[in-house]
Parts: sequence; C-alpha cells; structure tokens
Amino acid sequence: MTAVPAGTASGSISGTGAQAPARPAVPWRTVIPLAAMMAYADGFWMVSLRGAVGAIERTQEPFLSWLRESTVLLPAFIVAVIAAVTLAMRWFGPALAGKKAFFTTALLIAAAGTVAGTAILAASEAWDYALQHDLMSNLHHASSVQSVDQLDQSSLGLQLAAFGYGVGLLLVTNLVVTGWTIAIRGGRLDVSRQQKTTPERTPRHAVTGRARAAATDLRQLVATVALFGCAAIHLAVIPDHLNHWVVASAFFLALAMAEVAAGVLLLGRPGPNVLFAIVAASAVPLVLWVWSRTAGLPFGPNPGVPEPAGLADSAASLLELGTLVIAVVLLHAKRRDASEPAGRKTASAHLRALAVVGAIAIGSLGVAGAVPGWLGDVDISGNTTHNAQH
Amino acid sequence: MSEETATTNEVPTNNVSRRNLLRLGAAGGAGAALVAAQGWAGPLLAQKGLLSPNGAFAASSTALGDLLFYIEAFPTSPLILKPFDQELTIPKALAPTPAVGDSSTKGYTEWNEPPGPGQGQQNSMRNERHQIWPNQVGSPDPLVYKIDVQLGQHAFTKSDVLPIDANGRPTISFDEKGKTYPAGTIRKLPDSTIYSFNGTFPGPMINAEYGKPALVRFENHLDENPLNLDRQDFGSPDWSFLTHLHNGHTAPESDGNPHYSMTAGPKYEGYLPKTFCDNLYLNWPAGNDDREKQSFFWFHDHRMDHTGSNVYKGMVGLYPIYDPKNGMDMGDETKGLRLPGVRKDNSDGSFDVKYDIPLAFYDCRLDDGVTMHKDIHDVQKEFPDAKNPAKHPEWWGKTFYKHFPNHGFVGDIFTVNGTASPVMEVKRRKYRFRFLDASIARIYEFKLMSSTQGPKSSVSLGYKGDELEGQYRIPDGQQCMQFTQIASDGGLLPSPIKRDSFELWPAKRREVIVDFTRYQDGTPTTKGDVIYLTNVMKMPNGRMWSNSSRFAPDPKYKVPVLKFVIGDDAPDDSQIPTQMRALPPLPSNWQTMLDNRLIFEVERGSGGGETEWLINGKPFTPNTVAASLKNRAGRSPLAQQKKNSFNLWEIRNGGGGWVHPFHLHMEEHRTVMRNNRDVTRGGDKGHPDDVSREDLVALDPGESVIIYRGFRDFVGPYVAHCHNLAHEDHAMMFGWEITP
Repeated sequence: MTAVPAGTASGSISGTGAQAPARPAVPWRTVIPLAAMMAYADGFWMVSLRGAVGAIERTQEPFLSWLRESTVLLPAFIVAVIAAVTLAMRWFGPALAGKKAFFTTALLIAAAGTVAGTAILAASEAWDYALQHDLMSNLHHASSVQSVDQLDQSSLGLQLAAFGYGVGLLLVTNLVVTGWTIAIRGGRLDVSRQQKTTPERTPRHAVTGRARAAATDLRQLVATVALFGCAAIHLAVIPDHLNHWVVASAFFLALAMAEVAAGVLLLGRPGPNVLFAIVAASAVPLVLWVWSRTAGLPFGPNPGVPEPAGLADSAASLLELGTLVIAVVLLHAKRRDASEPAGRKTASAHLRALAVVGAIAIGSLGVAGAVPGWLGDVDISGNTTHNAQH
Repeated sequence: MSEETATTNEVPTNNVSRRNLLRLGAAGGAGAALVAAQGWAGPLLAQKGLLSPNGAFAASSTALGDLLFYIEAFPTSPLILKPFDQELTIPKALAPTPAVGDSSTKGYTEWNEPPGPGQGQQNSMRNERHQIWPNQVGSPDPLVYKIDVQLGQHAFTKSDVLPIDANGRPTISFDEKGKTYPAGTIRKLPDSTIYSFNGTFPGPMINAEYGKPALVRFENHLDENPLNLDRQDFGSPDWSFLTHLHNGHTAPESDGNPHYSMTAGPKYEGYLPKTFCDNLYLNWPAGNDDREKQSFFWFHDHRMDHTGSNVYKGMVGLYPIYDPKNGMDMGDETKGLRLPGVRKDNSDGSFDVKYDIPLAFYDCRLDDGVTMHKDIHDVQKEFPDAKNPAKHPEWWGKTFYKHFPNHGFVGDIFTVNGTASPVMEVKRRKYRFRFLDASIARIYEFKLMSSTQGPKSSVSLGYKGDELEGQYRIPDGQQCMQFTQIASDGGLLPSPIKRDSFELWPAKRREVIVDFTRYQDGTPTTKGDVIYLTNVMKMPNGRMWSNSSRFAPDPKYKVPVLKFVIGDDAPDDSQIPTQMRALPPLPSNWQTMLDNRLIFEVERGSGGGETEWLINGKPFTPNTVAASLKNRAGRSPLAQQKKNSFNLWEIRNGGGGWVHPFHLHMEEHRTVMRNNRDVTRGGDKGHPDDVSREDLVALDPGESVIIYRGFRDFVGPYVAHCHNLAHEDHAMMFGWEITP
C-alpha cells in the first residue's frame, strides 16, 4: 500500500514557479495490469456461463473464445479503470493518503471493472437470447405459438438468472483480482504519475504550450484514433462482402484508405480543406449506413431491403459520428481562433486517456464484430439448408 | 517517468518488507491455487477426459449449471432385496405369419390390406410403395411378421424391495390408491406401464437370415387400453410410433426415420393409432457385397421428439441376422465358422439358436413418489392429465422418466432383457453373447469377475447418492475370464479380439464368445462356480462417465449386472475362428478425399438451456437436408450423396462436457481417422474395434472422427443423430439424402 499525506508528493501539481508544475499522468503500470486481470477473469465467467445456459454455438472452442473476447474487451476494462482512478484522483488528490483513500480507490476500481463486465455480460446475454429466440422460432418442437412463447419465457428466465448470478460472480472476482494485483505489486496503487517537464521551455510557456497542444491534441488524437478504428472495421468487413457484392468491398477499401490518409493528415496541422474532407469522409458513410438500415439502399444485391444493424457497422457509425462532430468543432474553432484568439481549457491526461482508449475500445469491438465467429455473427458456415422434395 | 517516481511517496524503511510480504503472499496464494488445481481439479478433469483448456471451460460450465441453474431431481429406486434370484429371460424367436391362416389366425394374404409390392401397399395411408421388392435383388418374397404396438405391463423384478432415499435410508412408500407405507416397509413393485411390441419388454426377437427378406407389419393399437392402465407422463403423447431397424440396409419408407416420415408416408412425426406400416427388411447386404453383412440388429421406436421416452417405455425388439451362405454363420456350430450355436428349426417357420444369447441392457429409475416431475414436455403441456409440475405418489415403484438438459438421464437399476439383476445358468461350454445397449444414455464397460463374498448392496457398503446406481457391488471382485470379441455393429470382425473388458455405448452391439470351461489362468471351472458380468464404468449422469478403465478407473466400482452359474457339461462343437469376415477395402486414395469431406459438429445447444442439442449450430429441421461445416476445400456441401457413391464424413464433438454416441442410418461405416490420426490399421487403444464396420461413432469429449461410408442401392431421406436418446429427441439430428 502506498499511502502518503496529501500535499507531500514530490511532484505535487501545486509546485512553485521555480519548478515546472508536474501534470498528473495516467499510471499505466497500475491501470493495464488491473484491467487485464479483470478482463480475463471476467471473460472466464462469461464464457463459462454461456456454456451453461447461453448460445453455445458462439463458442465452438471456449478457450480460444475466452482468449479472443477478453483481449478484444480489454480496452473497455482499461476505460473502466481509468475512470475509477480519475474519480479517485478528484476525491483524494493525485496521491492517495490514508487507508480510506486507498481502500476506496481499490473498491472503485473493482466496481468500475464490474460495471464494464456487467455491461458486456448484459450485451452477451442479450445476444444469446436473440440467437436462442431465432432457434426456437424455427423449432419443429414448437408446434404451437403457445409453446414458442413458453420456450421463449423459459429461455429469457434462464438468461436473466444467468445475468443475476453473473453480476455477483464478476463482482466477487473483480474484488479478488484487484486485491491480488495490488498485492503482487507490493501494495502499490497509484491514481496518477508525474509527467516529465521539458527543460528547454520556460515553465509558463511550457504550461501554455502544452495546454494548447493538449487541447488540440485531444480532439485531433481522438478523431485520428476514431478514423483509424473506422478504417480497421471497414477493412475487416471486406472479405465478408466479397462473397456477395464486390462493389461494396471496393467501396470499403477506398473508404478505409481515405480514413487512414485523413487520420495521418489530422495528426499534423490540418487546414480547413483537410477538415472538410474529414467531414465528408465521415458524413457520407454515416448517411449511407442510416439509409441502408432504415429504408434500404436502392441499389446492390437487395435493393430497398433494410439490412439489420450489427456490432461492426454500429461501432463504425459511432466512430464516424464522433469524427464528424470533432471535425466540425475544429472547423468552428479555427474560424473563432482567427477572429478572437483566446485560451481554452485543457483536458487532464486522465480525460484524454479516457477519450482515446474509449475510441480504441469502440474500434476494437467493431473489428471483433466484423469477424464471423468473434463477437458478431455466429460462425456457422454450414447453416444453409434447403427444402427436400421427396 | 516510471511509476517509481509516481506522485505517491514511498517511505523506504518499513515499506520494503511490507511490499515484499504482500508480493510473497500474493505469489504464494497463486502458487497454492495452482498446486490445488493440479492436485485436485487436474485428476478430476483427467478422469473425464477434460484435462485441456477447452475441457476446463466445459467443466466450469457444467458446475455452474449444476450449482445455479438446473434443479433436476432423480428419484432413488427401491432396493431390490433378492438380486440375482430371477432367471434371465431369453427371448424366443417370433414366428412368421403364414400366407394362409387357420381357424385361430388369419394368414397375411387374408388381411384386409395384404402386404405387397404395389403402389399404396406399404402403409395404411396407401400413399407409398416399397422402393425395392425382394425379387428385384434376386430374393424370394419376404417372410411376413406381424407386430402390434400396444400397451402392456412389465415387472423388472419379482423380488421384495425396500424403499430407500438418496442416502440409502429406509423411507416411506405409496401405492396407487394413495396409501402411505411407513419407512422400513418391505414392498413388492407394481408393474410398470409399457408401450410395447406385442406386449412384452423386450419385444419379440426375429431371427433373420441373409437371403430371406422379412416384412414386418407394425400396427398401432396404443389407443386401446382395456385394463385402463395409467400411461403416466412420458411416451409419445399422441401414441404414435415409428420403428427403425438399427441398422438395417433399408429403404427410407421402411427405415423409420423422421426425415422420411415428416416429408412422405404419414407426413407426421410417426404413425398414429389405427394405422400401420410395412417395414421391408431385404436382409441383403449393401451393394450385394458379402463383406457388408452384419449379424445383430435391433428395432426400436424412432418417433420424432419422443424416441427416448418410447424406447424407455418398452419399444425395443431384437433382430439377430444369420448368414447361411456356405453355412458361414447360420447358427450351427458344426458348419462354417463354427461359432457357438445349436440351431433348432421350428415347425412354425421360425428357428431358435441355443447357446447364442442376446443381452439387451437397459437402466431405469422407479418413482419414489416424492420427486417432483417437471421438464420441458411439462412446460409444453404435453401431459395435461399429470398436472405437472407435481409429485406422483400413485406412481410409486413404476418407471420414472424426465428429460433433464443438464444432467441427462441414467437409471439406477440395471436390467438385462428386462429383468433387474438376473441370473443365468450356463453349461460348461462356449457361448455366443450378443450385447446390445438399449439404454437412453448409459455407457457400460463390462468385465467377467469372480467374487467369493458375492454382491453387497451399495447401501450396506455406506454409499450414497449417485454411488447407489446399480444397487449392488462385488467389493472383492476380480477379473477371471476374458471376452473374445467376434463382432461389432457392422457384423463379424476380420479376426477375433481378446479383451479384458469392452465398452458398450448406447445402441451399440458387441458380440463375444465366452468359454465357461476354464478361467483365464487356465484353471477349469466347476459346476456351481459363479461368474459375474460386471459393469466397471461409473456414469453418475447422462453426460459421461466419471470413471472407466480408459480414464481413471475406480477399483471400488464393480457393479454386477448378470450372474452366471456354471452348470453341467454340454457338448461343444464350436470353435473360435482365427479369420472371420474380411473388411470391404478402402480405396487407396481415400486420403485425397479429405479436403472435400462433409463435417458435422455436435454440441450442446441453447434453446432456453432446456430443449436443444445442435449439429453445426442448427436444430433438426425435418424437411431439410443439412449442410456441412466449411471443409478444407472451402466448401459447405449439402448432405446429399449420389446413389452408389462413397465419401468421407467427419463427426466432431463440439465439447461442453458431454460424450455423444453418434449414429448414421442406412450403411455401416469404417473409421479412418480419429483425432487427425490414421487408424485404418488400428492403433487407438481406447477404440480397438475402430478396425471394424460400425454404425455408431463413439465420440469422447472433444474428439473428431472421420469415417468412410457408402450410399448404395436406395434413394431418399435418412437421418444421422446422437443416440443419447434425450439428445436425439431434442434436435441433435440432421437430415441427409441419397439422390438418383
């Protein structure tokens, strides 16, 4: 345990002007192990629960499923742990002082991991139930509407029970693994760490420059991550579309290339043209997605038929929406900067990390949703049957 | 900056030791957990064949299911107080119906709707004909048998019984009038209501011969209940039936499979009361190839969704088939291979074979009157009269059956040919035994043992709960004889296999010769010696074994199921041959067919956790032909095969902590690969008779088996399914077809 009196930290952000004020940074060596432990431990229960009552066809090889799903969901747990340490830092300051602060933070982390795990479990159970519902609708056993309803109710009851027990299991597990992870780190639990100052700059310039850079960086960084995430999702869906609509594959390839290029340009000093291009690269697929999921595209293999929304396309659209908003904000900011240059609030490292890792988490989910048999469609290549005529 | 320069202060004095202490504690805890896992969970998983990363998840899922989600209560059957006192029933051969009858019986030509090859003559719906009539394959007109599917009553034992609870303590019992008997009261069992073939369990035995076709008219009389018997809450609720000859080389209309019955013929799950169907068994080998001849079939109900409950309720019949060609295996030990058997041709057209004994194994549970009845069939209100969920004291002592999705179903009373713990006096000579597992899910592993102290009740030995299954043990039992296995599902082996023990999975057949003249150490037997056929596979539930010779044997689990008492000497002209029936050859290029093989994965399903077992992620849909998983050639072909073609099919166990006896109708197959290893020359110690023809793939947890099989002579719809009958009834089945 590392508990020191508040205000005695060697790198306190309330330092004097003689020393560069240290900005609290995200303690990755605390965050990553805790998030990883919870992700893989919670993943074990989720896959096991699926084996007990869920749609087992989602888990042909449970060990591989566990490894894959836990890894894909790791960013979500990182977001949860960062959120917990951010909250703890607000409550207790950058250094934890006293047992109360320490234990409260540990509990916060376990609770945040449980919230993340619970959300994932709920989504997983809902997906299981949807698959079971589809199965039961096609059942030969279900010779009457009544029995389909009864099976549905039975299935729903079981999933709800599994969810209830699952939340309990996750909470206990997260408490245990949080405690163990802190213990194996020698009792170290940090909610922040110091960032290095740049010695060449004067403190005031350093602070102002960094703050400005941070503000810009955050928006640009998040948008860049989101663009890269979109590109990854669009690349991941290409193989699936190759089978039935090559034009769509070509579109997704072009879109992914454009998103990568936009992301790279955004990392520099993007001018209005670049930002307008990003607005277009985000808005066009977003509009197409809404169109295809509501009225159905008027062209393609099934013109006028709405497509069902899936994890991959929903994630990509969310990222595109975020990119679109950021690009518009940046455009607006550029105009305002030109007319009335003014300072702006800087985001803390924790909030920046939250935003960036959040975008990564969405992208990660989207990519996993695009691969058959991962988090999206069940990988049953032999699921086509035809009516036998005898 | 590393976190060593974090905003937290570190006081270097006490913290060092405290940090190390915490680290040591955490590492020690993890280490202790690992050691405990290796020492406790490891062996536990290993004994079930689940010691693998996937197996650990399967075990975890199973444990969660047991602990949190499924309350599946089995009754404990009353303890049979005088086991091995009742003679083993040896079925007599059923006589064929004469063409022209006499004053007491009508001949089949005099029936209102006589059988024949014409259109509409195959069933009472008059919408079907026999695809191949015997004269098309050079055989004579069939012998005609008549079997009525009807209600009946059956007693598994006539012994006194003591009602006991799961802890083995004497408990209360009931009768059908609602009277309660205090704990400790010795009782007699009431007869159980059965759905039967000709009123008996097991049903009749047809001794068939290659070259002599048999036509069996199955006529449904299940609606007739003159004794007003209580039908209880299992068995097909609409009293329909569908009979499958397992595993005859049979046309779809006579095969009794729901892929056919739902699309043709009755166009329903089965044949309803007051209907009939004529199943024509050509007794003709696939491709007219003598090497495809088999030796032991059985016929059982196959009604969609209720096969398990109908079979459990009694719809089981036996069908040994002999091969008179060159006298090879005609039931006469003086001819051909000289396998044990003394044939007696009866005047009624049937024949019996002495010293050739079928043994049908079946495990059951008897209601204790205090166990709740509830399963998915009750949820679906298929038995409204039972008003389930409810307890049924009025059914005390009668058979209990429920579909339990998490535990599966096994019985705690082991019966042979319908009698619990029977005894058989044998002559001092060789016998041929035809083993059949007619159980819902139980797998047996048999040994021949001697015991000086004899059977002790499991209760008296202090066992409780699942350990009471089988009721008796022989604690001092020692193996005293070996089996000589001569046949498996697909008939006679190329050469006999000496075995200390063998496994018998549901629906599988194994034929063995036992020489009762001497023990395995060469010592002669003497009159009055006792030998126990003993089950050494502990299978506490319907999922799989917990102990067997292959996986962590339990030396204390020795459950005698049949007592042999050595009798007088008897003439013995039989021999144990060295060579029997050659295998049909595999094509030399069979490995080139691997890329295009059809792949079917069986796994626990998901329909509410109650109803489904799946194949390739799909439940059985009776009017469709299933598709393979994507094979190495990147294709997902439909399960359609051209007539007279051959192919490789792969059957995979998708895990979940279950084993699956997977049965394919219509032709026998040959296992060519098991777990990606070529086993065409044997080599898998767990499955020594992979080098034979079979119709049932025994899938251990996580196993994958590739089989080579043909699709000859007939066209039309067939099925393949798990022969754990609770799985089959809950959709672990798929349709396939042969196209012209």
